Amino acid sequence: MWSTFRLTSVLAAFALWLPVLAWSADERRALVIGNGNYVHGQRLANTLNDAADMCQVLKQLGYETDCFVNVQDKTAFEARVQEFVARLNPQSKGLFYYAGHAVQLNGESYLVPVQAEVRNAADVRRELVPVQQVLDLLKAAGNSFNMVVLDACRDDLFAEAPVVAAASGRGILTARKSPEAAGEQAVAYGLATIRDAPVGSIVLYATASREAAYDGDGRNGPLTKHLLAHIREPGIPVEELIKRVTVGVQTETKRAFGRRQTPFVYSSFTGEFCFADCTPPVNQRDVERSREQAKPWPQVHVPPSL
Amino acid sequence: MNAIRCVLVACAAASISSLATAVEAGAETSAWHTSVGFKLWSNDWSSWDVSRVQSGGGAFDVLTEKASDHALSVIPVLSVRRGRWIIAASHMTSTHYTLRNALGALEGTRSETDVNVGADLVPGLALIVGYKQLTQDAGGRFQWKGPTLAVNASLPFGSGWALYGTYGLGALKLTLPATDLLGRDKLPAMYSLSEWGLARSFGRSDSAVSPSLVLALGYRAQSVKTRDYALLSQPVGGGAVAVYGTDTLRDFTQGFTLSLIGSF
Repeated sequence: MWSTFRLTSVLAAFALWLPVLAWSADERRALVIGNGNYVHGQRLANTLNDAADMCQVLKQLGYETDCFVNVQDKTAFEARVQEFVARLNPQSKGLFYYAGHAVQLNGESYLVPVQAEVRNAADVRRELVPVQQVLDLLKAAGNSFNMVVLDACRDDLFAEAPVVAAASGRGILTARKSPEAAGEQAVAYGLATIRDAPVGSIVLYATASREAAYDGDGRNGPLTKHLLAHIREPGIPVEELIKRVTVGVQTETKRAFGRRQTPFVYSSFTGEFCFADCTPPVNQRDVERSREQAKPWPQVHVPPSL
Repeated sequence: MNAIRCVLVACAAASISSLATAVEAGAETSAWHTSVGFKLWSNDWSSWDVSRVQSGGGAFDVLTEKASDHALSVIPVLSVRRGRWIIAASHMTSTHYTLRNALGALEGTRSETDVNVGADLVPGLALIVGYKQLTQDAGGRFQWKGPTLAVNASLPFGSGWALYGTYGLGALKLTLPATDLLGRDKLPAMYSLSEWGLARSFGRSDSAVSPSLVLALGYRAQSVKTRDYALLSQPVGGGAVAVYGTDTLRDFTQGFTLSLIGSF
């Protein structure tokens, strides 16, 4: 009886450890959402490309990646996020990527599902997904590192609304009714600042607060384009990656649109993370040089004559 | 002297035996490197002469030292190297000297030949055994022959630069042109050599593909001490009994060398 109890205890203890043992030390999970086919707002040309390309690259980088396009409504959107967060364990490195429309209201940023119909501020709260809610869920997951990329804020969502956005943007917009009519403060252009980012996380916006972001004139929006260009480079910590992306986006948008779009980052991450291997790539020339330097000096043979 | 000779031969045999084992274990598959060139040796030769001095009614022998003027000797050298192994040979072409002292001058020529085989103990340090023949034609032909044992070192200190050195000993035997006063025609001799200097390689000396040229400036000194040469030690005459003694014959040659060696 006692032996059975001991055996059961050992097995139970082992079973309790199984989930821990199952955690990979560097598990990477990503949720990618690209919304472009808006029913009640301006369709976006590149967000679906952005999501597809990010999905492909993240999978190449070893991310367990869930990819969704044209998420219909707030319920579906939140479900995708909750499923994603539920799969994170304390060792996970999480990435939430969103390309599509976004809006801010009363200093709160919202992500826009494709069937959302927003006529006033109440619609915003009912139909859209607060960014803070996503951040709160990630914070609750308690994993070691999360990155949130919001390639949003690019054009007017509603055609009849007062247009404030720049041309060719993935914008956000104002409500259909005036703020006064809605009894609210203005639904503002661009994403709002972050109130409470999870510890150990980085939030990358396509543009600074209250600025418009461009949809791009190629396959991808500028932010995603430059992310894709650098994210696979080995030896680049995430902070350096963001710098390179920022410079790329600024340069490209200034040249193409005459106005510099500046990605903006909020970070509370103090660790080290690289999307690709953190080991710097080996420069073949350096290898040759160090090999040459390591080589002993060649012998100089003077034949002996005795 | 025979004991020294035996020790040298035994050392050489033991060294080569252990080297052979090491080299076999290393299974070197290196290419052949051949070096050929010559060494110019600007040298002075200090040698010996025996003068028979008449004293009263008798005579006795006086061993004197004679020194030469500067002479330039040409020494072609050849070596073949494969992996750790090296086979080398050199020949000092016949060089004419005039040896002088207060008692007179002596014209003579001298030539030397050596063949050697060795192996690197470590890179840049080789142990070499060889055979040397040294011939002097001065009032007769004196010829020394015998085994040698040497270490040959090269210490690179930069790209293409190296200090090099050779130190060797030999247990030779002198064959006299005629029997000495004691009826012997062979005498034991101890040979020693040291040469060191600075070498510069032009091109990659460690490459079997591209040829290289080595220019070396060094200093070479060698001595031969031949023992037990019989001399008439007291004046002999008027029916007195001859008294013989023995002395050591000393040959010492030294001077700067300039070597030009091509390797391919």
